[in-house]
Amino acid sequence: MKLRRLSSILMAGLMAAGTLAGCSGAKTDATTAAAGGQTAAQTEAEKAQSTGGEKTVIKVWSKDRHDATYVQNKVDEYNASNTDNIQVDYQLYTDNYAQAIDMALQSGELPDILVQQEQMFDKYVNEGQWADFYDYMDSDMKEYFKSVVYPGYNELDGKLYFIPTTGTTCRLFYNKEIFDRVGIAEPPKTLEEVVEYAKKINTELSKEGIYGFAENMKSASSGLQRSMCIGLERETGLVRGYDFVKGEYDFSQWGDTLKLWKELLSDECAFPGCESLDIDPLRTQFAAGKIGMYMSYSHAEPGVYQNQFPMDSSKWDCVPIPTVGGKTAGKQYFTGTGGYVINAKSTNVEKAFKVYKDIFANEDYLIGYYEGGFGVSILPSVIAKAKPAQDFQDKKWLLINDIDALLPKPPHTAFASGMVVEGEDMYKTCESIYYGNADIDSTLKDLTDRYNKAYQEAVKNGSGHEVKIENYDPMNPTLQ
Amino acid sequence: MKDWNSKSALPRSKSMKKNLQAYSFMLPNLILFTVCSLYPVMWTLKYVFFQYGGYGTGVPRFVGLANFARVFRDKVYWESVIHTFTYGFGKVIFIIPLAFFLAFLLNQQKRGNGAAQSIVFLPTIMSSAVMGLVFYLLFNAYNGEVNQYLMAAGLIQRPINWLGKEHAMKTLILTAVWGGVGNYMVYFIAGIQQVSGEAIESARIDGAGRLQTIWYIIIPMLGPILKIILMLAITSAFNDITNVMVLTEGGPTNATMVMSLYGYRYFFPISAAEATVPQYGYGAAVSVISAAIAGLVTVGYLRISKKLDEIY
Repeated sequence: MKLRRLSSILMAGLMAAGTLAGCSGAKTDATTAAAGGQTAAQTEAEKAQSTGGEKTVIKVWSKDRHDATYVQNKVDEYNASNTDNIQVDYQLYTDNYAQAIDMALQSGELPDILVQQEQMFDKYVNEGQWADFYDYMDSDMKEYFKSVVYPGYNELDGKLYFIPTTGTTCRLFYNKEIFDRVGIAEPPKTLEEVVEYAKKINTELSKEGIYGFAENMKSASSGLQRSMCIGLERETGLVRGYDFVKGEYDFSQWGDTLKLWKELLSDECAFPGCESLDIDPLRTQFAAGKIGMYMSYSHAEPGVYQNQFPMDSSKWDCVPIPTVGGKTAGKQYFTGTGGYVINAKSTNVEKAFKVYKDIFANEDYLIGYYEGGFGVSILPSVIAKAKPAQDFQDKKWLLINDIDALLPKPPHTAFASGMVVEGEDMYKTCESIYYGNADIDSTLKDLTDRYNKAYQEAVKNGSGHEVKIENYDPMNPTLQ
Repeated sequence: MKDWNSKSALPRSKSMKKNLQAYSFMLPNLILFTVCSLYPVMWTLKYVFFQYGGYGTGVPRFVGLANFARVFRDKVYWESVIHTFTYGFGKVIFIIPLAFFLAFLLNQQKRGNGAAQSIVFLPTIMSSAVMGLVFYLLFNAYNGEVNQYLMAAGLIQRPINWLGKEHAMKTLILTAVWGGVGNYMVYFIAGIQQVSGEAIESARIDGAGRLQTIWYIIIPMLGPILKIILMLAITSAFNDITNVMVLTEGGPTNATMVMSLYGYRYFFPISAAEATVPQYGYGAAVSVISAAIAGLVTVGYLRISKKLDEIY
């Protein structure tokens, strides 16, 4: 009886502890901050204030995990050494970054400095939420960063809102050892060759669990935006299906590419289970030598294969994403990263800019960032002085190149919430083609009609505007 | 003669005090219900008539019944309704008999049955998201343990794509059954323990075998509790979202998209990788119609299940 009572109490206690542990977890600073609680840094800052230091706390929010350790170290160094009585509180939000910003804005708790991200930038820029850097930059700073000022991108109506210091684009990553084993001398230059090589690898090596091609298709938008869509930009000169010359969508030009992708993702070519594969499991399999080729972002992979899933650097390389027949009608999109926006409605805008200038726009920081493999620098001065990781020296296509350019925003990006597309978006529609039985031509025609209808409706009801660029040349794209 | 049990029989002050006590006990629940259930429902109902992209996207635009008209045109939504019914049916058809079998087996006074009950119940208190992740690791096609064991045992020659279009729904149902069977087992145990021992004894004296006793005596006497268990199983199947979100995100090609997840994605991205433009108005319309469908099913079930109230 006593034993039964004791074991019941123990069991109940274990279950309660498990439930409570599951509920609370190990609170990170980010979780605590998001819950409206106090982070360790905030407590420390408040202690400093209460002991008469009167330090100004500047809050910085980031969404990036890959450079968090590096940034935190720089922030700690700054906090220890600055003589401006400033304490920087650096917080990480990762997956719920956009939602955290929305909530913070609604409650008036937006931080002073935030990592720039397209969605949150576009959403609030017209509401005067972001500070104009030109109000605070001196002439030296303007000169130093003038090569990364892009009218229509980070400079709008004569105001500069953020400064991208690194860039990322998408490439085809391939395993050189697997290629050698099946006798492939050169990486593919056309999409047809990608299919051919993937089939060859599957035929000869699938018994060893080695497959020709993989992509993280669990999320169609994530998989396609780092692969097929990028290739299509170069192949067609359209930006996500939008023709800036004609001012309309035309997805019919995607037909040939989709036919090849359907083959590429079939059992003949693809790694089993691609339709439920996430990017990190894909990377582990690539690092384990199980995948011949895949496509992804250029800035992240070197760090991944150095630190996260170690792989001998000599075993992999990357090339531009091949197109159908090697056709090139335009440039492909590169994203400027490493930019920060400053909250224009903060009570400490000037000090926030000082922090930004002293930490994130500091040349030593930028050189260390590039050398540490956290991002590919796009600043000429940094590139000239830095000694980047061996991967970035040996693998030329990891760097931003002539085939990459900043591209203008099509309507569904320029005024996303105003353009309501009925039915599935372009990514899910493509999924119904390569993983389903949808007829390519009629499906792409329907997709074109739906997007154009949504665009025209947005223009008509005032929630959007006409998007057309006079004399737009896809080989020399302009942003406006 | 005065009825000393009626309220009017009590002195006024005592009656007020009694009511006050009752209301004060109900108050926390009322507040939670208002804040967490009623207010969000009202908020949702407001936006069904608007096109709204969320905070920071401007003023909501009145569109009348356009959102509802769009729902009726939306093929993917109606496919998600079918998937919801498939998932619900699949879950109930396996979980109820299994829970009953386990309850009958583990209700007996044998050594270890108590511990076994606790083990079977454990998945119920586990986070659905964690469960989804674990099953993702077990069932993935390239290095999941399930395929490895099946291939080692010679039952299959090549890996089965458990999360592909053909098998994803089955894997989801399996996850749901594993996660919920302990909960329903506990309900069945409570019901079995209330079955009259005399009725079972009489059946045995009359020569009924074990199976006959179960079928003709125990199951009919479980009628009221079975009705509640079935209703809970059906309503929870209609509301299941976490498993689906974590395991398949409704894919591939919407093969496992269910009603609740379909509406959810118009408010929030399903995953960090998902490109979502919120459409609160349309999401609200989807949610309202989904709730109506779930309500109709529940009402239909309650009418059909009245027979379960009859005990021989």
